[in-house]
Amino acid sequence: MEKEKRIVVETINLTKIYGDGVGVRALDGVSLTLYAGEFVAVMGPSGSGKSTLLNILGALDLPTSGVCKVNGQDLAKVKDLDRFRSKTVGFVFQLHNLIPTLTSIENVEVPLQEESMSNRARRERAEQLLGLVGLSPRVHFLPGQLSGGERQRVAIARALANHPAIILADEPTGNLDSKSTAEIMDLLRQLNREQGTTFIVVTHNLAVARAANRIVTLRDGRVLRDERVDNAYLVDLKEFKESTLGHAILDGNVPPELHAIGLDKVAEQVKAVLEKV
Amino acid sequence: MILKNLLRRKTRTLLTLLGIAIGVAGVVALGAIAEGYINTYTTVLTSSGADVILAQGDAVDLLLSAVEDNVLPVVQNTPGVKQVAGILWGIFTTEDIPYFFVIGLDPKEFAVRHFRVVEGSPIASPRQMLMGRAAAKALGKKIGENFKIHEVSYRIVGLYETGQAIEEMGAVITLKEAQEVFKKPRQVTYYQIQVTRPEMTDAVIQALKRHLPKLAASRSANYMDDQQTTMMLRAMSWVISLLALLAGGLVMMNTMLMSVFERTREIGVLRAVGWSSGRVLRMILGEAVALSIAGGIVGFGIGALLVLWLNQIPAILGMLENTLSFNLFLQAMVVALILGGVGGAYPARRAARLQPVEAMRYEGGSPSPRSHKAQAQFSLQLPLFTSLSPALRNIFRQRTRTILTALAIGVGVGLVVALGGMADGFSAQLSEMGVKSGELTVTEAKASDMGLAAIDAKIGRWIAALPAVQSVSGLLLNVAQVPGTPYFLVLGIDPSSYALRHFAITEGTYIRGPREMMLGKMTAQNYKKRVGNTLQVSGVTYRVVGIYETGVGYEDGASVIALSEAQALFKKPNQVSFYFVKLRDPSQADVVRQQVEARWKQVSVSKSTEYAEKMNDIQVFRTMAAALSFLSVVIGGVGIMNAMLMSVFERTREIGTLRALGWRRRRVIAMIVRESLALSLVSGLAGIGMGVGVGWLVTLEPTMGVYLQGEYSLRLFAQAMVVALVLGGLGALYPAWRAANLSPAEALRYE
Repeated sequence: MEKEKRIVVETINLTKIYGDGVGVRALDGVSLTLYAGEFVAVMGPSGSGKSTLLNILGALDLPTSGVCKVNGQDLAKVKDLDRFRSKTVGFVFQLHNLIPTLTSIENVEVPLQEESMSNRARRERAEQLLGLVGLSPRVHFLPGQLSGGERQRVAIARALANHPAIILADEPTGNLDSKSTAEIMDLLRQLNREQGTTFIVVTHNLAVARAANRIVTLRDGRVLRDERVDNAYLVDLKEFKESTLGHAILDGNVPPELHAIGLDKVAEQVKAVLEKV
Repeated sequence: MILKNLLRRKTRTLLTLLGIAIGVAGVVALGAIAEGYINTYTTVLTSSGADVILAQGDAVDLLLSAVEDNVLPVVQNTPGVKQVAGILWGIFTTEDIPYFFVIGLDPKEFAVRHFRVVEGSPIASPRQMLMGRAAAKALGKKIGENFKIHEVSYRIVGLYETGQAIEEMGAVITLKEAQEVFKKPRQVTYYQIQVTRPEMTDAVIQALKRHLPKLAASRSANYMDDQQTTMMLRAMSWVISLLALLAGGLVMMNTMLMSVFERTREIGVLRAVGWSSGRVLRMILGEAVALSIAGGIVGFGIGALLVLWLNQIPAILGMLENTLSFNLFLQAMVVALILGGVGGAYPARRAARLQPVEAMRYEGGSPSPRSHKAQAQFSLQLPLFTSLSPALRNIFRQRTRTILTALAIGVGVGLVVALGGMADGFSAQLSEMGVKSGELTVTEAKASDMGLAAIDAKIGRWIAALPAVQSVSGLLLNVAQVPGTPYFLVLGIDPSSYALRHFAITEGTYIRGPREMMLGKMTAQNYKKRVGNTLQVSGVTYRVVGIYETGVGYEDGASVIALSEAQALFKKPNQVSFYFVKLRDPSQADVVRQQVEARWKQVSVSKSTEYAEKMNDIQVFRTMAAALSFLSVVIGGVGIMNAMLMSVFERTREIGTLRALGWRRRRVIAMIVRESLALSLVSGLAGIGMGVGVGWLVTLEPTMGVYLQGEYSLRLFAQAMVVALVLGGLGALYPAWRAANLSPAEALRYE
């Protein structure tokens, strides 16, 4: 796009097969290039390979074949994957996965513990991060004392701890109600805008994907679509195009039930719009 | 289904099985030792061909019995008696054989035929000896060679076999020579009597009891059943087994409880599809019982191997031959079943009472509430929760498990503390006794135990004549029986000796003459005696002239009579158990020690502060304590490993998260080890509490308690804590390794 387009993730023909021999092809030749500052939503139905892709990008899992470079490092050549994880990527999980016995601030300090920094510096950094996600009054609460949205905020603060090049989020709002979901997405968008953090979010919630400026859709381990979204409403239109009704309109078969509200009268115009989307 | 459920967690099942098995193995081994001891003596008594045994009425141990030979005419003239043979057992320690039995027999009497000469010839003249085949082999002796007992040399003329290891690990000399060498003139250990016709046996026993009321006559096959030692041995083996089982039971309960928690959702489903709560109860109980039966079988196997191995040790004297009976196996299985039933009952009840709907909603394998509300409540219960270190927080998270694990380890650590404390107390009391009476203590060099120690009075006189020596006090220590109590400790001390001065009289006077006795404060209380009362000891009546207090439990729970009287009473003329030597100049201690040891090979001289530790009694007790502690500590170790393994399983996803966040393997390992150490620290403290508690309970026992005053030093506690921490460290290794090697991606997917 504009200015400096620094590449943070580059995959070439990434393939992951689970099980021996004729196993499950979770990823089947995925090639993607993601740039710094992007907010990427990875969409697709269950079993399309979203989580596998995320695990490989986060060095939690190794590909069967193909190349995966994150922040310029070829993961196949990285010796210290622990260090890579703590320095280069940040994780936000669907189930917040906070340590239940640690307070908010202690949870945020967890990834900082492999860093050579003083206890005080660590604490200050964690406080600052919790402030960033708006949880300053809750620093000494245990996860059990926080609401679902608050727990996810702690998890986001924890993911930011080491200034990672990318943040990988797997269904970050999967367990939240719609209000908390909106709040969390606002927070992520704000971080993306203000801090320039690169986000890769796996989701099948369109409301979540709407926050992204790029949507990658996977199906059966392959990239089905990869598109930039400059206008969030276009996402809604795309979704509509994919829906049963969208297909019906494109096929010129407006269901008779909808004639009552006059859809048949504008069917041609709608079809023309959808074809442009 | 039961089997499948057990196989689901192989490591845990294995560990639990091991915990139970070790407990059961302890029961088997101790049971075999007790039975072996009793069987051995019974066989020795019956295989000699004797129908009736006539022994001292109140002997603590058969081999410590003493019967004077002036009763012989009475026995011989009892109608129905065909033959009588006196036998004197002497014990001494050689370098290769800790308990070497010397049997004194009249070579002309029937009893000697029991010692079948397989090589060489029988004893025909003085200074000749028959040696047991096993002893000869162990000592490398051959016919024609000489063997020394307490400086007297005997020529080995023949080798014998009897089929009894205890006899074959010894030697036979003539009764007369045995009486001389063991300084027991005109004395035998017991008489073996053959009756004219078997029907006469009871009549003979009745007649002997009538004519010789102070002695005990019984059928040779029944003798051991009437013995105090037998009862004590059996009781001890049961108590210790109980402790081992307690630890095993706790491990069991822990496992089953974890299993129920883990399967909460599953149990909810079973209930939802129509299983009754009784059926769930039976399933869990069935798993517990299956596990304990397997543990029982494995435990019996381990126990049997242990017994076979122990039987190879010379000091055991082959006593464990043929002790592995079907009965013992049944006993082991019953014990295992009880373990399973008791350990499984609570978890089964918990499982049966789960509400189906809630159970199915349950998340994760841990019992700690993860739901928002319950978690908040849990934290509120512990307002200080967040002030604890993370390692401590994790062990508080699973309170039931922490408590059970702490108890299981606590039993082990408690045993270390209780037994260690007793040994230290015993040793400290003996030392104090010596220290108050002189700088040096003279003990018999090769005494197998205190009750058998004998030092000739001439050595005392020789030491007293040394210029550096101010005074020498002889002490004869012996256990007598007073009707109604198993132990009555009697100290024979010369009324004029220096040693008597530290017995502070609180009432009455010191002993001065014959038939006078001083009682320790505790003894006076236990027997409800006051100055002026009388007390019968081994058939002799003494008048209580004084009550004393020294602050040493061993003394305050004893009684004091004049040395000469004690020597007569216990048939140890001119003998003492110890000499306490008071020096004119304490700096001469080493010189005097060397002088005495150079002149008298049969004694050893130690500083009074140190002699107790060198004594065989203490060493045997310490070895026993160490073995027992080891047993229960192993069970504790299995328990902690089990607990940590469970913890790792439960927190699989948590560990996955930590790894995903960049934690290295070693940090994960350090976390698990730290938690394990925290758990063992808590357990160690609990164990110390339990140990001191048990030690204190023991002292409340009226007859023995006073001698078992524990001494609890910081060193002992530190030792116990080290044991606990080592357990924690070792127990954590495997779980930590497992935690560190979890694949992060898989761990995150784990439910």
